[in-house]
Amino acid sequence: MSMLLKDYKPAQLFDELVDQSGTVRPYYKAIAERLSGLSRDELTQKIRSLELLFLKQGITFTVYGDEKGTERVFPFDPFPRVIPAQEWETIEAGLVQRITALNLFLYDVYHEQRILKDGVIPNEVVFGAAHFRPEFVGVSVPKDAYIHVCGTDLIRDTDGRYLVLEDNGRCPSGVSYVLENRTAMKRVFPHLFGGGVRSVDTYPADLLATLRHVAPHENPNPNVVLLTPGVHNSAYFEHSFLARQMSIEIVEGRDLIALDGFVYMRTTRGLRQVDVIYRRIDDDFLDPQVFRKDSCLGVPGLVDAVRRGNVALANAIGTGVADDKVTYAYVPEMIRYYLCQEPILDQVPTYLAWRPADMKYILDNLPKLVVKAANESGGYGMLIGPSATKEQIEEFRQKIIATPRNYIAQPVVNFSQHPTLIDGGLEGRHVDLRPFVLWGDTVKVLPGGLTRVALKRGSIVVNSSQGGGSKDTWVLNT
Amino acid sequence: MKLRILHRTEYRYALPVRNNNNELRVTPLDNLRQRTILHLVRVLPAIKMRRYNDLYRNNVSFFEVEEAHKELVIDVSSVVETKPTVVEDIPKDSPLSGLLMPEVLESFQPYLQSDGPVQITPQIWRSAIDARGEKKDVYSVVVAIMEFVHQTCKYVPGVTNVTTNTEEFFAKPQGVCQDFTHLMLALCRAIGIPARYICGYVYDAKRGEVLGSHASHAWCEAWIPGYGWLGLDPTNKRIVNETYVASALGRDFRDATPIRGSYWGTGDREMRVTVHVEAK
Repeated sequence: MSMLLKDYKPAQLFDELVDQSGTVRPYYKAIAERLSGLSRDELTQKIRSLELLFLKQGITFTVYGDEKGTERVFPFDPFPRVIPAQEWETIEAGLVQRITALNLFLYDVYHEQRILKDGVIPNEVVFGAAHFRPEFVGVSVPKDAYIHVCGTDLIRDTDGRYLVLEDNGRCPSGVSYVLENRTAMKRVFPHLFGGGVRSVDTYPADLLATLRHVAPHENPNPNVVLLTPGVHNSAYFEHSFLARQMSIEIVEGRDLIALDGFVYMRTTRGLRQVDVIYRRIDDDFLDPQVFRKDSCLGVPGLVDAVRRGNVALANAIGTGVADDKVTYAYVPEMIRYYLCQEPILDQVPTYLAWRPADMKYILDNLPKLVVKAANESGGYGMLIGPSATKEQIEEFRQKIIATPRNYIAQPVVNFSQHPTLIDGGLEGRHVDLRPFVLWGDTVKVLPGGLTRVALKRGSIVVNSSQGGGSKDTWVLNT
Repeated sequence: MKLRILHRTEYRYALPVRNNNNELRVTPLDNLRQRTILHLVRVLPAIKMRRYNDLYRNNVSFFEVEEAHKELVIDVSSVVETKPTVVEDIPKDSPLSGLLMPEVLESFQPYLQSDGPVQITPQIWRSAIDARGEKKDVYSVVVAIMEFVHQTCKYVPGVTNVTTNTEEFFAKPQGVCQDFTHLMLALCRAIGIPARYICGYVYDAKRGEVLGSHASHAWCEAWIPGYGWLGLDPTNKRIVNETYVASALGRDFRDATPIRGSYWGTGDREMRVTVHVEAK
């Protein structure tokens, strides 16, 4: 490994491990030394046992749109990402500020809509968002909480500055990998932890507390369930994992029934009332009576029960308007409006295709930009200008002209690289970070989060569905 | 020490109210003693928040809810890093005569006045002289005054209200931290020691040991030449240490009120305040 480290060539971009002069950053010294103590054989053997462990645990995901259509083991890289305490302090404050503003924004757009009346955010942004639910205007949700669980994607630019890439305020996934990665690392590389790494173990308990907090009618002993689309969903591993960790029931739509404005779970002992549903199903599939008529995943009458305040959903219905990529461009304005503060975390400059000036810029500069569909996630429906073919660029040009509200463009940010084990050697690969924020009685941020790494050389797509892997993320105590 | 503060105020109105104006002084001060890591003021219904700094450099947030509403929630959360007070560093030989310098009198005039809730009566002046006794240095005198207040007054919530002044309180010394602090201000000012009012929070590690930890707390700061402002908590008879977080200051309660507002409406109002201070 010492050889490995010596041969490691940092990129011109921001490198997590070494600074510009090639010196290992002080907070990486300890881990780099301990990793260097391993021989190549030991390392190979340990990586093999890691893979076996992941396979045995069934830590998998499903790739959609792939002919083979099979479940895959989530690739894992054993070189952990390290974040020093002070840096994390700022990230944490920025995330708390952001989720607070987003929840206030959601309350506002589903009530008085002051931010629209004051002209801070144009009406089209909200009313044109695919996930805005006009039928929920005026409906109150327990504790006025909309986004209970948020996964915010961060990247670092060439100066090492953290930038928010997007907020996932619907059903963010990936937290199970954070917990499983840590378990695996502790088991296979126990000597790497020299103490001083902040624990992630309390997440399931914190999540459960967050869910119980929104129980309707201040029920002190609510029945909390996790609603999954089923075993074929790409994140089913995570659903079952979290349900098990929280000791709550995992249910599918067919296990629930709505009667007279209440939701019940079918059990072997008859019906049992459900108070809080941690749903891992998109709004569209929740209730065939209200949303998609062809959905068999949901529960007819569920939305009625929500409206009557007899059952709480986490996250609430209609949060998609806040994590829409056009709305994203206005989050700094929200922070200034509701909190009268400057954003702590910067974000990537964003061009909105429906603004004529931006549209012209986008069309003129397509090969230099990243174009994203406003309402898609998981790395689907995007164009990376510099690496796209002429045909792909033309295809997007037509799409953008046809439906400008649906597209945004951002300059290509060269996100930071982290040394990653590739074929027995260390190579720099692009990484991002998805911390998880829980909005309960207090706001809790899981120390660290999911570091995703683009395993293909030069690739900046880190999504697991597009060939990404993950790393353990260490937030240091001091 | 890292402290997390949650300060929630909920108002429920029996009948809808309108034009609800509020001014908040709840932002932790940034000074040599404390550094703010995180601070958020969240108001429901969601409205546009504004801010300004007042005469005392307090960070004031204000807002108005125009439309009719029956509920108002003001949720303040802060994370603050505080430094301990090193008692050895406080000069024990700073003479009382040093306070008679024209510069001191000029700069600290507002903190020497008998005004509003801080009324310096002959009885209070007499007690201040007695507490001073033969002591010649400022530190020993302010500590003696703090001990006197703590000994003389009894902590009894519900007896006094926000308009109680020191004359009324001293006649029947039963009240809360605000009254204790006003009395201490009057005693210090009576013998020429500049003293100001601090509003803030205190952490109670053992739960139940520190008075005032379940709501906004108040204490006094006295000026010690050659050192600066020293915090003294007469309610708990303690020199202010790293478990205290200051959020507003001024001449008295009126300058440093955490939440003050007005609205149009009739009918009953219910207010619920919860304060949690925890070590992080």
